[in-house]
Amino acid sequence: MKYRRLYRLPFILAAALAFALPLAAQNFNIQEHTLKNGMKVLVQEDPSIPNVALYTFFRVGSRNEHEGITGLSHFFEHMMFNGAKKYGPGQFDKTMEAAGGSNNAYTSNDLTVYQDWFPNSQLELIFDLESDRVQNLAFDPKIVESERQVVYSERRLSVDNNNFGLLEEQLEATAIMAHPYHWSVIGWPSDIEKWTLDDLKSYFAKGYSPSNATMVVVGDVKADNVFSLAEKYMEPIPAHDPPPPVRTIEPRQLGERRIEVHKFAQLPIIEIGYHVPQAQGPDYYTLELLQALLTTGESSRLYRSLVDQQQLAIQVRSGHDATIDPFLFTFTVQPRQGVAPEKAEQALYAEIDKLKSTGVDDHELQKAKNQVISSYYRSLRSINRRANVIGRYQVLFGDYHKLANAEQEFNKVSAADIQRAAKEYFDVNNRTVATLIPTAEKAADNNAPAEEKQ
Amino acid sequence: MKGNLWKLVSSAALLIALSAAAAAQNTAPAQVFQLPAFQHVKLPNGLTLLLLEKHELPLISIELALRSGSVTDPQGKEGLASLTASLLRKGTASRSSEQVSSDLDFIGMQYNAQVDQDGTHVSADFLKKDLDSALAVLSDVVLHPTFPEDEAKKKIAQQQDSIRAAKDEASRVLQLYFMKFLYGDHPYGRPANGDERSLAAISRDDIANYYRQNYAPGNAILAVAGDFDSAAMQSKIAQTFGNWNGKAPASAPAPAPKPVSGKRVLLVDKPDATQTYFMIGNIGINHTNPDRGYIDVVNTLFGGRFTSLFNTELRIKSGYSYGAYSFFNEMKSPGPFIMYSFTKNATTEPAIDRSFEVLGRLHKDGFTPDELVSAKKYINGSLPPEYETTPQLAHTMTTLELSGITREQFNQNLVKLQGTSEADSRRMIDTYFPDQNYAMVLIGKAGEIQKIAAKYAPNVATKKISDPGF
Repeated sequence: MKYRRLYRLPFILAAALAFALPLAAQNFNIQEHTLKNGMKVLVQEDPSIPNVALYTFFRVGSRNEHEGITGLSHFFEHMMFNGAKKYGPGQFDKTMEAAGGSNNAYTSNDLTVYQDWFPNSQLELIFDLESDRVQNLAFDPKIVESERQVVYSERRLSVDNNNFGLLEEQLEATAIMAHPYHWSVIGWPSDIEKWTLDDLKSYFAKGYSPSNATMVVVGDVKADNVFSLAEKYMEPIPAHDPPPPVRTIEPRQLGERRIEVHKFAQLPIIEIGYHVPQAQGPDYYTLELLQALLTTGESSRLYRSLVDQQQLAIQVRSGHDATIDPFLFTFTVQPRQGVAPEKAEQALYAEIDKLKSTGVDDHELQKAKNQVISSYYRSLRSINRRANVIGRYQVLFGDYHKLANAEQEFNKVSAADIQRAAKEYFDVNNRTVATLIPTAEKAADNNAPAEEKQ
Repeated sequence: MKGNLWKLVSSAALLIALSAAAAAQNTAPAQVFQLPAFQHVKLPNGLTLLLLEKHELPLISIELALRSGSVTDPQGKEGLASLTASLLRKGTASRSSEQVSSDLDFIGMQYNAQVDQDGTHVSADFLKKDLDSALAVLSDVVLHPTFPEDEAKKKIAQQQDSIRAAKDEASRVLQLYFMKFLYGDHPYGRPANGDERSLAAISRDDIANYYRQNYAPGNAILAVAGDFDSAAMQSKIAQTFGNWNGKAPASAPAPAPKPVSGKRVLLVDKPDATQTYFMIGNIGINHTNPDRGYIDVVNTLFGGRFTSLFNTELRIKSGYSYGAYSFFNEMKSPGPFIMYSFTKNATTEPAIDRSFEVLGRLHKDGFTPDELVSAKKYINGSLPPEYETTPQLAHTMTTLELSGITREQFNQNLVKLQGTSEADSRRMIDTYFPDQNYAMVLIGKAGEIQKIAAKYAPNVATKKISDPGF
């Protein structure tokens, strides 16, 4: 995901804290209302702090792009802050901050999400600001040029000068040949340089119909009040056709693909991707548990083997996103200095093979369930994160009610499911491997990204 | 368990009416955020216990803090406090390292131990029903660690490689270079997690000695926030931590750092960089500075939010950067004031020029009353979500106690900042935002930016990113 801005500096690491929460029959008390133009509004009243989180989810992302306009969804997200009819350039942020509010936005392969956080007294002002830009966004050519540079700087920060980001982009472009998940959310550098004003205008017309949006409001509000403000400010915005369906289905991978990235670095990195189903497909919850078994906590299989016992790596991570179309389950390993990347890679396969051949016992599976369920509910702890999770369930899983069933879904997964999924997905022919191989300092010039070659 | 997850208490306790001082401004927020009350207990063995009940969710967060941070590391053995904290979980008198991990993973508990300059923080976050298991494993690692030799060696080697890996990404290490360059030999200049060389100088005995000298109840603060009854929690903690003995070390505060006078520049060469990452700043304030509320208002407008002067200049108007920020790290002794941004190699010079221009403009123009009101509202509106969850509250309690700030003083400061006047703002700018004296660190491709760096100081110090240390 690409965020519009960094809220905290990346080197100020907050302590990541979490908890477990067994919920039997919970009640999320979400109230819903669909406007005449098709926009869905979900509200959860929560007066625990005098603030509100208002998130607007548009079901459009880099998945809806094509060659030549890669990264445009994310660029468009930036342009949504740069002036509309009533609130001109700079006024959206100025007005919101002066009212005690703040905002951000993120774009993923599937979605573009706008986030507002503000004192409850400012609810109507926020609706006014949001409806202005959704209805009457303006595009000043000068601002387009300046914002293009901002996005390019963001690309340098998160991809070109970030070895993990760079390798991930290359891995995905290799593993996904046909489907638009082939390119990264930030977009290829040459496209960033060449998007046009017309590209932006047609993108607005395509993706930003109210019928393509879900608004989630969590905090110290009354649902009736939110619904009437939504009717006043959002309902008059006419609906139009949603983006055309994405037709391309990624063909089945027929054998292992391997790539290398040679770059100045002190430590290598290995990223491994296996094709897995989409959020609404089979095995979403099983894959979450596989992630926990393999890499969550220092008792996880890969941490214990690669980091602790064999001391081949300083870290190992895994995971998959909830996505609209099938995407990847990835492993990221950072080998110790002096350890051949292939050695760490083989050690990882040895653990996966063990899981495939002998499966898990009840205690280990229960541990993974406790971890996953606790981490899932941790994501509901603040009004901000809850607004995000409710919206993602609605747009990615198709129904926010499924949120209440998550714990049951995890509990349904059996040891046999785990073993079957490991065999089915973690197969050599379904695998793409990308390795970042450190080069010496003097070679760095030859490996700088293309923009630096004059 | 509470029947309804979202059963929530009234927020009235969090808010007080506007104080007279802020009311005089007439345009300040209607209600000023205030931190809720918590209980303060001293156990007979000297342990300070802080308790804050919060019953919306069946969760408990604990944070144990020691008044010993990386400042207590001996010179040449930087990273000792940090290694000690990270090895607590690597074996106790009754549990192997693997057993500790299995036990805390099985209850889905999140555990973390980290060290900054002024303190050590060990935190645990878990479900109310697992209180006994959680307290058992937390007290075991804090009270009975054995520091096995092989685990110490392993951790040292991993930590050295982690530092090398961090240097592959400029934005992760820039502040470490900046602190070293700004503070020099002052303890705040030492990297809290050590460096490639200092870690190699640390032995298992150093770690065990550090533990003996610093992990004592009189040196510790235990904060608990969440769903519990305070009286019952106090007796549980007394049972678990009441037999903890040991003498607290004499307090050894870091001396007052000397601000940079003149202009100093360090260039760290990262030959693959396509973007230059830079910090400009000087010595700032400590965490009890009476001006800290006023400074917060002024810094919000200068570089603390999206529409700040600094971000407006480097991002919104010029497109030089994805972001430009300024901040004060309030520490026990004065921490740094830092301006931070990054830009592609080719615009390094204009971006740095603009950074100084905007600092000059701050001094020339100051801020209008409307701008001050906007910043005050922004700060007040941002506070409730910063003190919303039990981990945030447990961390806040330990941090205040480490800083020697009472809840009343914390709250008074929030009210006081709402009274920031134009004259206060002017005084803050003159006193705390130096524009003629600074330290600047750049990480970037020396082959392209070396000459530019030389423009900002008579002599430019240089390093390679792969050189050990910072």
